Amino acid sequence: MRIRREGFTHVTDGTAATPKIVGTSVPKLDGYALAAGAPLYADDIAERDFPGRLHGRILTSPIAHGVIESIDVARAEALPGVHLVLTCKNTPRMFYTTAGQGWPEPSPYDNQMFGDRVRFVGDRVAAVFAETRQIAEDALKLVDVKYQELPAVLAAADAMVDGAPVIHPENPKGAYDASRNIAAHVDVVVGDVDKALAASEVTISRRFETQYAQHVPMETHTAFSYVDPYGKVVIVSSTQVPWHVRRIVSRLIGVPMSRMRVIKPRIGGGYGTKQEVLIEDLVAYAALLTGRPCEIRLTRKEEFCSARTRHPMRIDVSIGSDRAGHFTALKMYVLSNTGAYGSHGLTVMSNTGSKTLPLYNKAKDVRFYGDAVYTNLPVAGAYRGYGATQGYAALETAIDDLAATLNMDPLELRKKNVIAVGEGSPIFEALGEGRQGVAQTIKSCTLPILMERGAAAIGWNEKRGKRIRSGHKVRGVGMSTHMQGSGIPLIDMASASIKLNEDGTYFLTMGATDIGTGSDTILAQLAAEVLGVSTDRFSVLSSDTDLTPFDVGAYASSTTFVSGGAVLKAAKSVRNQIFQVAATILGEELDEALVHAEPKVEGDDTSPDPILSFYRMEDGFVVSERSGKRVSVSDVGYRSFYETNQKQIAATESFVSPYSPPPFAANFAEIEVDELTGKIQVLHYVTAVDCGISINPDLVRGQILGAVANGIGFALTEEYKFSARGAMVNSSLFDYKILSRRDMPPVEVIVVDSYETNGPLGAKSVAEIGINGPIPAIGNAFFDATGIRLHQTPYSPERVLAALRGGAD
Amino acid sequence: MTTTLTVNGTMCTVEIDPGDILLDVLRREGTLEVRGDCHTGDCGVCTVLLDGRPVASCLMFAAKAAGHAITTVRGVGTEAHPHPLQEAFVHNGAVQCGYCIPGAILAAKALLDENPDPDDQAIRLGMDSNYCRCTGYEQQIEAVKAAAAAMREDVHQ
Amino acid sequence: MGKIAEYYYASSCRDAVERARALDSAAAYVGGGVELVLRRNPGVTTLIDLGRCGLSEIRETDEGIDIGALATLTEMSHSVPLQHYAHGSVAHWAGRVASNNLRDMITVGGAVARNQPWNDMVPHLLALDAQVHVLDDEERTVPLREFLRSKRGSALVMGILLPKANADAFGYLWRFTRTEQDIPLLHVSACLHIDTGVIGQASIVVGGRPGHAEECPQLSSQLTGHPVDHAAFAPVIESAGRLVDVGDDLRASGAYRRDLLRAALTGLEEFAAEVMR
Ligand SMILES: Cc1cc2nc3c(=O)[nH]c(=O)nc-3n(C[C@H](O)[C@H](O)[C@H](O)COP(=O)(O)OP(=O)(O)OC[C@H]3O[C@@H](n4cnc5c(N)ncnc54)[C@H](O)[C@@H]3O)c2cc1C
Repeated sequence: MRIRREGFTHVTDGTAATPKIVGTSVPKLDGYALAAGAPLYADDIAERDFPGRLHGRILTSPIAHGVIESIDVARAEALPGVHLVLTCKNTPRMFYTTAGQGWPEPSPYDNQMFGDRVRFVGDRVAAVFAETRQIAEDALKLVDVKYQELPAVLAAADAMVDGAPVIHPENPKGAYDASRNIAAHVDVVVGDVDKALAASEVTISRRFETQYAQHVPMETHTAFSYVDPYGKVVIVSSTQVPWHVRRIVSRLIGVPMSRMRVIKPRIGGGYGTKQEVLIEDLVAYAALLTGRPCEIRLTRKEEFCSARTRHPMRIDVSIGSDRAGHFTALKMYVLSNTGAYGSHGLTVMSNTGSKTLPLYNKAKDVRFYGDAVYTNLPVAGAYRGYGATQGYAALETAIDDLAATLNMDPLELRKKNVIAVGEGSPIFEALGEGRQGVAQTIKSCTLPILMERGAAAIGWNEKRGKRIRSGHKVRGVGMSTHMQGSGIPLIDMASASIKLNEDGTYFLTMGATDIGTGSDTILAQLAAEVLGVSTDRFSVLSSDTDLTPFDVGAYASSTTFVSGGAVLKAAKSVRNQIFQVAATILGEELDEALVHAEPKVEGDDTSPDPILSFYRMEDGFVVSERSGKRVSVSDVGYRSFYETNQKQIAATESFVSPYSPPPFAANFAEIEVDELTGKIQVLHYVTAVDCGISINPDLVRGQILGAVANGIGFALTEEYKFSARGAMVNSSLFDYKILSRRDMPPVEVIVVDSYETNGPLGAKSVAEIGINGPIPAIGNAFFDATGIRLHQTPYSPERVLAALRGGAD
Repeated sequence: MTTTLTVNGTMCTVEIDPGDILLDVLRREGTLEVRGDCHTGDCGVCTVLLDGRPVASCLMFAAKAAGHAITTVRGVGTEAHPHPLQEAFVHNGAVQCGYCIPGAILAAKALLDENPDPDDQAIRLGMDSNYCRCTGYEQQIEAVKAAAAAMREDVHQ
Repeated sequence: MGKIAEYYYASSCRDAVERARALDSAAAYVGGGVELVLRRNPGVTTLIDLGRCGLSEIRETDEGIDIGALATLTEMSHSVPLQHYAHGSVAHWAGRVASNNLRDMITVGGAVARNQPWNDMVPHLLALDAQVHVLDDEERTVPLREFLRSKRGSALVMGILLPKANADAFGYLWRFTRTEQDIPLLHVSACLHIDTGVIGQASIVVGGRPGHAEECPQLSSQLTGHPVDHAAFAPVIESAGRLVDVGDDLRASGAYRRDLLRAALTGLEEFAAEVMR
């Protein structure tokens, strides 16, 4: 079948060694099963294997802030078919965080399974498990709760003022200053930014605000649990972080890890929201107490109101520059709204600075500081882009304003200031994920080419400043530049195992969590490349805490880079063991030290592994570089399984890196503004990305396109609306508008590979970066079209029209 | 009440409540390729074909579907015998998490049955129920065009 | 919808009406069933299926075009007679509102009988002066506007008649949505008769905002008899905000809806100018 990939250009410079499998768009290993609707998601498995399971429903708070004065579950318990009602009276009291992150956990311990306090409309009050969903739902209505309502904080700006209601009077461990509703605080200073700003020839200061928005996975959070014949609590969950689920739930309900197993089946979209333990504790605890399999599947309304959101932020940016456009100082203050709980509050806010400011490393004096505050609104959490999206919204639009002030082409202004190969930024070291960072020097970057190619594709020079008009519609173009990271340096660890079967095929198990990204496939490609076979010689199994080795999970753009590193090392180790047996079969010498040398990801020393001067893997054979003789891997397998020096050829390797090489992107948008309605129509969007070597170009493109689509929705239409009492009033897809097929403009993807020596076979990350472009690129295009700056998202028609009329946006 | 549903050509007699929703009945009966979450007709995940036309099974009374031919994605193609649409989706990176794919394939199938050579606009319109949060749609649209071309060639041969 | 006790397949229109009358408010007709599933009415315990009553046909008659109540939006969009009626506006928009799998479910009868504030078919049919074939005590044909005013629970919509008088008119439909897959924040429909550059007759209907679709005779009358030029439309555009109540809700403020009204009527002017060319 001929597929015309019309809006896709993939540029490789051809200098890297020519791999065979890596760089090929191998179809996803689970693609056909998914396309044929195989029962692979949590609820499918529950329905198929446990038709007699109990169904859980959660009672949530109808008020934004209050104390539970009394809760009576007698009538609910008495309803026929109800098996269990959980409340703060019969559940563990431990404080913990729902954020699935590394250890020690950077988010405050401000959450309980059930508390005697409710902190937002949608907060957990009770859970019912019953024979059917309907009975459970009916029972919710029979739970009698009396609340003493408390004054609520319904805006981030009100959280820190004197006399504001204190949302966490229990003073959670890890919260920065609960008495002032500050969940987290950062302040990182390099040089003296105020002095530098004052001394700059040109300075601009801008404020930008982003809204409450959500991931909207097509599959809502779903998990079920059962107790297996060995007394083990098995949790099957639509999670991005199976190991963090195991750790958090194990500690919370007091079941040792040896008696807990977490399995991630296929999951219907994550984007960050499933980096959070929201229902697994309930199903596991209920399964333990009832002895019956128990499931919870959030409704769409619950997903909106009670699951996680993107941190709304108000960001103040100041940039100092000389008249020629060389940045001298950068200052950014963030007021982040973490909602009722501080999940990811510190780390998302840190990333708002750490993933943006180093891009403009020429500024010598830099300050990044901020507060993540509690409010009585829905809880924010991890969301693709992870703070960088908000940071770039502010920074890239401010840079555009600076360009206008300097009377410069915004593209030229960026060219003068972006980071380049061989350079670092003090911010890398000063600001990590909620703690000190790690110094980084850029090893790979094709950003200058991205800017050039992207500009050509959109027609930057021909269209910019032209304000092409037809009737009451006017056009403009805008652009922005970005970086992200690849995993969290020295924190994220991944591991993988590979074992050889005697027919020369392999079994790859890994902790890495494929949440639809295709990581099972691209990680198999990495192993296949090293072992000189195609991916169909692999079977893969991932994300099962009993059957696969550890991995932190799918977040922080870590999978390709960090999990990929682990797979690469495991493949090299297995390869070396195969060489060893092959050498004996061929009667050739092979130094033991070479076989047992620590396998590594390339790093600064880019010379090939020394063992490769003796043997190479080729199409299922080991070929001797000395004699030219070959022996099949299958022969190696049979011999080592059944004949001489018998052993299982296998390896488990782990990878943790001091590096987090940033992918880079340049985004360009052409828009048309309807001056009568305020509607912004994106006519054409171009995104040019450097993610190192693209292991699987089709999947790379898919990551970029998906992120851009979500980003355009975030820029234009997606927004939580609240009642005066803090309840979300548009908690359905009927009223929370994500983009349909008819709304998406053609998006052109240009991938310009670089070779990242610290990444597995040259790769960096790609999952998140695409979401950061639309807000600034579209906002800047609007400025180009109208001369008016939008300072708040979404750029909804009503808001845009007000801005066109000169009102405040 | 007892009713007869015809799913992918197989007639089955099922016991339903008169107010039951088709999606719920299908899942209860093990037709697990039909999924859905919003139950408000907003997302398109639950799409099935009723006499060849796409409908939201989450807003359809099961009793209303009785006597009509219901087609799920497994009636279009399976892992072993994929339909050109499934081939094209898989070979163009158009399947990410996969959750919405059965619905999208069915909408595309209905579209191609009616219009064997749709342009971009027609594809976007003909599949506009089917939200996808992973792919940004582009690769799916290309896949539909590729499958359509392959099917047209097949017809000519 | 409470617990549904019965799903009744009516064998004819008469059978359906009799059944409905016997059960009074405990019964509901099923068109596409979309609204019935979505917004369950606890009082309803019997559903009356109309699928076997022969109401799906769309055909041309001496009076105009008859659309069976069970015709879906998709069927309407595919109908050749409708593609020619009023320059195709009904067919065009029936194929574009809501989203594809709903367009194959939503019936014209269900839309007219339910008449939600944001429905797109009702205002457009009103502008086209549609009639409704109703079966109640007897079979009769009443103007849609009258049907909407005096609707009775057990009255069965058998079909819609688009009158021949408007067959060559110009149907205009303008709706503003946040995304393409959305209900309108404002809907304006119009039917214009244009003869040698003069607007012979105009009918403007506003919908898509809180409250039901409404004809706007004060706007329509301003256009009637005027040549198609800016002088004809300017006062309409200018006065619309004062003459039409656009409401206010979470989807859009009243002020913004008034802006949209201006945009819609500016669009109507452009449409008329386009038609002239
Ligand atoms: C997500 C979504 C988006 C939508 N978007 C749009 C949109 O953009 N534009 C738009 O115009 N509409 C839209 N619709 C609304 C749709 O037009 C209404 O839901 C419509 O009323 C449903 O038609 P139905 O045939 O399914 O009605 P049903 O649910 O079958 O019936 C609705 C009501 O009418 C009664 N009824 C049905 N048929 C008859 C009859 N023949 N005689 C008498 N009474 C009858 C029923 O008893 C019921 O009370 C949307 C709906 C949904 C769910």
